[in-house]
Amino acid sequence: MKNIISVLGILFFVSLTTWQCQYPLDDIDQPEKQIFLVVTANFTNIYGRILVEYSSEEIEGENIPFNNPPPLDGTAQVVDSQGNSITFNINGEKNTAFHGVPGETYQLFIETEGKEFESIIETMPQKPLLDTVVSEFNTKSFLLSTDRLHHGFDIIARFKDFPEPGNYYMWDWAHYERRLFCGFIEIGGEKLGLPCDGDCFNINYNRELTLLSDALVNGEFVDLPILRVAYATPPLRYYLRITQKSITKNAYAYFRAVSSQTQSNGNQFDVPSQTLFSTNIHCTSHPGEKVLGVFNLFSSTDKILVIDREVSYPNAARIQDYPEHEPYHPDNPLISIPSLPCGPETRYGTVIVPEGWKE
Amino acid sequence: MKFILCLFVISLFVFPAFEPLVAQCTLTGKVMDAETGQPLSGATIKLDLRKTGVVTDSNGVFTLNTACEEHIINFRHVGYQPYSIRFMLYGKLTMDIEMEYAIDQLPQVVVSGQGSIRNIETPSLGVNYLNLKSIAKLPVAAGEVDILRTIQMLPGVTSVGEGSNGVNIRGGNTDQNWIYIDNMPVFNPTHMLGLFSIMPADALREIQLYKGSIPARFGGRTSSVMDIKLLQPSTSKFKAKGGIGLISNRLNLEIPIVKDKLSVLLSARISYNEYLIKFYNSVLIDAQIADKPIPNHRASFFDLANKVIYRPNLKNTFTFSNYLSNDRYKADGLFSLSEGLDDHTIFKYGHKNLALRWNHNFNDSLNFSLTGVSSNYSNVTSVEEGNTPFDLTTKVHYLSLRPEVTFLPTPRHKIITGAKMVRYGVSPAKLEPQTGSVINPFELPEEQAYETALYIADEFELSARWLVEAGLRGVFYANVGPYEQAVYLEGEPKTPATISGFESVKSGGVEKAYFRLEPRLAMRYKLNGFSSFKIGYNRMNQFLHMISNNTTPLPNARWKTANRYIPPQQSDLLTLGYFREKADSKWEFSTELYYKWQRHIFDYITASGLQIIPDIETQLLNGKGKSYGLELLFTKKLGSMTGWMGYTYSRSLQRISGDVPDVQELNGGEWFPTNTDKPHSINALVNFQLNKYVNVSFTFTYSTGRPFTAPVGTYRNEDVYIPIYNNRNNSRISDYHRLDFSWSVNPPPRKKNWSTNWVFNIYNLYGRKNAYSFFYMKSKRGLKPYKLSIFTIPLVSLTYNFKFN
Repeated sequence: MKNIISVLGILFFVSLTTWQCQYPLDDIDQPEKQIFLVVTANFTNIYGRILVEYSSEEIEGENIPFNNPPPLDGTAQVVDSQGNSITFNINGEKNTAFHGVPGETYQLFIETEGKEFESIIETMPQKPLLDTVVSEFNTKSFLLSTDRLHHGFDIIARFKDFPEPGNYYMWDWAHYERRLFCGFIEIGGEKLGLPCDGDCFNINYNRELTLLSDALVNGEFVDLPILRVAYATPPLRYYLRITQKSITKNAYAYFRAVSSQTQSNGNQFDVPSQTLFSTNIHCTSHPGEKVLGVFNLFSSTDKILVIDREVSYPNAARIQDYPEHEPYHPDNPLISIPSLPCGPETRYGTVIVPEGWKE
Repeated sequence: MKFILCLFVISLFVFPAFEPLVAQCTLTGKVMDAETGQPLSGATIKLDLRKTGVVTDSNGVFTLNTACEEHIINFRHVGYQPYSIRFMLYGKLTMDIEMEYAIDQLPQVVVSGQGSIRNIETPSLGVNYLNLKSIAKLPVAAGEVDILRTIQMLPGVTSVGEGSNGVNIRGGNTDQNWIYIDNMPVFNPTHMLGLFSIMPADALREIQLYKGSIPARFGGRTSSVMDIKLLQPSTSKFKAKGGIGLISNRLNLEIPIVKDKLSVLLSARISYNEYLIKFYNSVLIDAQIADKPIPNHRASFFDLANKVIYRPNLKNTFTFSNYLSNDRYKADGLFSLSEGLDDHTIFKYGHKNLALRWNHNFNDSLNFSLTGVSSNYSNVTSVEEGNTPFDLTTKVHYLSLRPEVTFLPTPRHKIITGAKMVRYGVSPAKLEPQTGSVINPFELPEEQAYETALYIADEFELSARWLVEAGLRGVFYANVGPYEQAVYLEGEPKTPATISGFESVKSGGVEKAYFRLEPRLAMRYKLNGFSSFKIGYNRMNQFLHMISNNTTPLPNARWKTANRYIPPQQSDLLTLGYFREKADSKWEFSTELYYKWQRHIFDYITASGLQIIPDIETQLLNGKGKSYGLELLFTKKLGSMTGWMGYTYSRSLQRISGDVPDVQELNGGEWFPTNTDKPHSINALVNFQLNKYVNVSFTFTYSTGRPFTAPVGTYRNEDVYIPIYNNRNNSRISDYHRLDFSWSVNPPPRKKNWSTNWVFNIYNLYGRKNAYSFFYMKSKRGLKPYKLSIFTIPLVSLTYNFKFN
């Protein structure tokens, strides 16, 4: 009988391993397809930028995410309380002629595709009081020991909320890493990396949203985890630029809805998936038309953090990462290794050495 | 709708039968379980080998008319040895019968397990009786006898998926069902966030589920009532039973204190499964038997059900019942406030319920009872995050007093009348910072409301064919202060921006009152001795609502009393039924056709925040609902092979317009399916009694996948790719089906008073990965659809039960 119970026990434990699982679906049909106009309008204390495009009717495939429909022709205007206006292209280019002033009010007007849109009047929030950003090494016992984030660094933003209520915050981060190769050479069917000619950096950004309303922490110092960085090398120094934004109530509501849509973990208590259409932009020429996006008027503060991952921690093994491709080493040492230029300046790559960079 | 009407009509022609009726006479008595002394409801009593008879009520009592002469009387009840006796009737006779449990020929008819004649005789529609002894032998998940999972085998009872927190009756929401344990309501019917139901099966005597004809004594919910009775502890013999399982251990004691006068029931169930998770995460992962840890979960629970019965004399009975439950569940990422603080969450929740009842029997035709109930449900959600740890407490307190009179002017006429006074106290949210937290304390004021109902139900025979049960319930409801009610601009949607002011309601002042009349009617037309046709109508109102936008509610779901902006939900249910049994009582067939209208239901605005928002009406959208369906049930009740099969076609739809349809309506103002809309479902159970000691059961269930909202496209905001959702519930998850197996062994007792039982279960025998939900996550090429499955491989368990008499 003992043996039977042991076998049943093991079977039960093994059953538990898959008591709740997520499986990818390959044969699900998309019941309907629709497109909407999308406005990405960021206006800060240092620049303004607006991109108007159509959404994609696809949800997965070759055209997603990099080949969205191109930006549309049209113009946008931002008008302050004094009636001063600045005109923008709607192709997503930064316009540094715009310098938002905290406390000033602004309204956005857009004309494109024969339609007119306008925002409600928004007030630029105060610049946030980001005090410090720190990294804390720890071990997440609930993660498997082979998980990349089992040992790692919690990146925590410490800031003081303004004394008056009604403040809303959002955090972004950008991770800079020196680019290993600027091109490849194929020898014997093997792809080998070629070095860059000078400084060249890759930039990664957050793809999840971190948001906070001060409704429950008004006037307090708050420590808020922003992301987790693996205890892994290379690089030994992990460079992060953390941006804290003070955003408007409407932008907070919009991004909060986006966050709940994109960060669903599929548990049985998920809230239903629903899209919140723009909270502060509407179509004046065609009142029934739904528009996505938000007139995001914010002011921001940046902090640089470089995590030293060379430090050893007791009972924590550092993960060693290897490059996807081997570097090119000519057999003949007299042959110089060709180097390649970094390429055009983009949102995801730059030759400019970031502020506070450490090798 | 045409489809189900056709099916209903066809079923009437397929199973027609007409034959002359037989006259009836009079007799009274009570039928009990010989072993436990529990009254048996639904036992059938037939006189002189006739085909017609009567059935016992919920107290095991029956009344029969007959001539004053010699008779043969026959008693039958599913799972019990039939009993017959010849007797001479002179004048008035009371007959108490103890029936023996028939384990060697137990028909495993669990949920329709009342005597079939009851279905034919009574006017009730959509009423199911659950046989607890049989339920214990059904296939179960993880070895836990689970009432909520079992009733999902019934036609018209569904859930949004495995592990859901409650059941959906005929398209209704989980909060539209009252669940009473000895008159004490429960507000969260599950342990471990929905994995197991809270009803401790060992401590239960019987369960009646009213999903159609709801007696006038019940009110306050628009879908169903589940009336669960605790065991009546034996006043003569000490009894103990219990069990050891992988999830929990159970012990049930019946202790007579003063013979025939005072006895106590003590029943406890305690889970100890935390060690399983620890063992699993450490030993099995390290040994590479398993490759995926159970993430940061801790779970434990207990429940206690106690009852004291005191019978000072034959006229009076005093009963004290209480039910306590407690859960502690730790998990990641299940809960967040809209203010942006979330992650590691511990839910601590439970009930503290008690009831006192005095029953006075004036004479055989007049009975009075007085029942007082207090039910407390509370949940503390603790979030441990950075320097913002907090406790969020929500509470519901229910107090009620119910005097009731039962009067039988003649054996063919029964009147039940009474009143029920209820006080609801709701603490929607109290946020308290933990030590060192920078969270500001916050509390939403307590809500109070009073519901007073007067009711009368009259059951009488118009003729031998016609039996009528008519009822009326009048309810007065008042939402009272102290209260700060937001007032909104006329003609505008209710949003924080359209609040024009606040109206202060002083303590005890009425913020809003409602008066509602609820007619109830059930009629039976007997076609012959073994078939009848019925029609029923109910109107129900609900004054306390659960506010939850999760797929299935979390334990900290907010409750809300009706006010001027959130009127009571109301439903009207019309049911037609046809019931038939084969002459030898081996087979039974029933079909019910229903249509339900619902008013003042609500849905939620997009991206609603519900937990700590003061003016919750700003997050709700008014609408109406309708559901309809056809339920067919075939039952084989006797023989070595027993079982049943049910098919249900049902739809559940809603139309949500809000206060300002042009701005607020959902899905273009059209009807769209609710989360519980599952058009087709088939449930089947077959049981083989292999011999006196071994029993094997299989259950099979199939249902159409429930609706979910699929994206219609994507867009980007900087580096975040976002799905676009437009119309709600525009697609369906995959269909659900599952086969379970149970093998029960009752070894011959080695000692006179000691018996044991082993139950071996395999849940989800062929390991289907049924979808609980579909959802979308980021991928390299946009958004990848995934499904969440629960219990994805065969779940094996073994339970040991013992009994000492």
